[in-house]
Amino acid sequence: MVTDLIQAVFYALSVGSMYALVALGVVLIYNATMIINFAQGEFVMLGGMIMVTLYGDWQWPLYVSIPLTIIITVLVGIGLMKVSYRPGKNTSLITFLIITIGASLVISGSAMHVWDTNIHRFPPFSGDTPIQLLGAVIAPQSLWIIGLTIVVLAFLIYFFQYTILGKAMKACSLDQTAASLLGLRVRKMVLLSFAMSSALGCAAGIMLTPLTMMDYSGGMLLAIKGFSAAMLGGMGSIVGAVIGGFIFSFLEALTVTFISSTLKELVTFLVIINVLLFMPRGIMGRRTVEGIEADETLHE
Amino acid sequence: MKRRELIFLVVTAITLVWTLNAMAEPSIKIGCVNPLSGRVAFAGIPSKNTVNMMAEELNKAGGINGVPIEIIHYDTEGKEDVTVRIFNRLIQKDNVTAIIGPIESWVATAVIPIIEKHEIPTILHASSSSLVKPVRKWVFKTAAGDDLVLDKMLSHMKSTNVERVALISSQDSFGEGGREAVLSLAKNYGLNIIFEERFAGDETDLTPLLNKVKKTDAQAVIAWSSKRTPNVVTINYRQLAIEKPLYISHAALGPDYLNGVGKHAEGVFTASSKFAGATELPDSDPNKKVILEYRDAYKKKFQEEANQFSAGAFDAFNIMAAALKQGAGDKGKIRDAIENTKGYVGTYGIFNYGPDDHAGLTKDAIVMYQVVDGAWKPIK
Repeated sequence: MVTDLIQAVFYALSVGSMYALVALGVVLIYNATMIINFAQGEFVMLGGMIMVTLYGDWQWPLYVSIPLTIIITVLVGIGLMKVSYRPGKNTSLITFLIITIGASLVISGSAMHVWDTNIHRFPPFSGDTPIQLLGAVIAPQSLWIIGLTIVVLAFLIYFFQYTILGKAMKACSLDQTAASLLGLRVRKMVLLSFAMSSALGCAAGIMLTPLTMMDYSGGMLLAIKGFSAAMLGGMGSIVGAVIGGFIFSFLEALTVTFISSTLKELVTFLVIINVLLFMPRGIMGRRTVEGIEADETLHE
Repeated sequence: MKRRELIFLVVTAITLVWTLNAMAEPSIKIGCVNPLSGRVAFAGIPSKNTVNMMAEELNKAGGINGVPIEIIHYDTEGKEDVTVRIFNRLIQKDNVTAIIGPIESWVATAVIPIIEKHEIPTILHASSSSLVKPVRKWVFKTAAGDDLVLDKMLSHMKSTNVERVALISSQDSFGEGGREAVLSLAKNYGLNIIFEERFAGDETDLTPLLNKVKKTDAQAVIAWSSKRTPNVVTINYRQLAIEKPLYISHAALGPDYLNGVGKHAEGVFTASSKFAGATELPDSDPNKKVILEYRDAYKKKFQEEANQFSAGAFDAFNIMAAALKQGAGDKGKIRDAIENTKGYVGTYGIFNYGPDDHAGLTKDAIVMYQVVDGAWKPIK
């Protein structure tokens, strides 16, 4: 019973970190542009697949293949920004959404031709021997993923709280017109958010491919889970995205361990739907005022 | 003057078209349906090549009683809806006499009602045995059924003194078919299924489920799924350091498995047709010669290896060609001829169809395999 719970926690930590990393990428772009980027999972897929070629097939050393993989993915991310984001043009949010879904299909479709339809994997960074801990086991690669999540989370909190650049990015998300009147280059900030988000997704892909394997279509599923985690945590909240990811995976682990793996998605999504019904802004979401309430605050 | 020229031209044109049409040779049209793009293209493209290669040979040797055959290829994309449209087109527009394929069990399930309604003799080369169980009048199949594969696995377990078995399977038609086969066959071998659970077919981490399996006192584990989950199961299985022997579905003989799983695959069992291990079969095996000749002919023509999936197309084509010769263009007679096929020695085994058996093979067609030194080796 206790070891079951520990094993479930280990699973939740490693899988939750994957969801959290995707969710963080979604939140980063959402914060700067209000766009929900459904192509976020494709950055993860690209990260994994490019590494498969550079590190797995061509045996390039890690210190060459990792930076190169990130650079290629960031270029794709910047390309995505160029096609989806047009300041000043009167494009509705739903159009942005459709553009990112389309981009996601284009990227995965191209990946199918660049690579193939097979499932790939490259060797983990610190071997394959599982670590025994309190009667349960955890793969060394899981520790890499959890570690990356902690580092990224710490960096993003620091970035948005204590750096001018982070604060400027936040300002752009709050009111783009006001931010540009104050002399902030909104377009540059948006570019930065896409670049950071794709680098983040790519890093996640590099970390998780040795564990879960990757194929050209692996991005979409991750994007859905990551997006759900971001919603659950409260769209726009950095900490919320991570918490959402962990809650999501912990629910999955508990369902499988104590009920049945047949019901995994059912139970998990039932809980999430209910949370969002009663807390529409998610767990850490900002309470914003809209409509009549907003008018009243103006008069005060 | 101009008018006359015009009339002359039109008349000549009409006469020309007329005579050309009359001169065009009659042919027997056969539909050939395979996944040529998407995830299962690795199985479909060699199947298409195989059928082309054999049709060419057949036509060189005089075709079907002097009439050449014409193969019409379509791409299922691995999708049910696409394949339903293809079948309607083949039957209504292309007017084919018979159909070979498709290869994907989930796709074949979707088109069986169309085949039955339009009464077209069809030989599938899909694995799932539920496709011909109960027997459908117009539907036959080659390739080894999953019930035969599992039968072989269970008898192998019995021979290694296993009594308690854990079964995990995916929640799709492949997984369900295998699960039902195990549950109904287990008692023939006195095996107890002491743990049984299903999981989603797109799972990327199965440690929680396998952790439950680890704690049972099962002596062997069957993991029945296709697509990417055989890889996930194997890697998680080793990560959890489970000591019980692992029996995985024959989907693991596809190209993904050994490359993707690496050394984790060592010692894993599966059962499948003789194709993959043909070179190591004894010379007395009746299928060895057929398989090796087919492999050589394919390699010579296409400079790449045939696989067990295209071998199913090879058998389907030969059985169909023999039936076409007897059937003389009549669909009913062709169907009867397929049903009366006895003792055809193919790549998969010796086929004996009958009124209540449209799969044609027995357990003898299946061999046990184990991963030894990073490659699938046939074992006793």
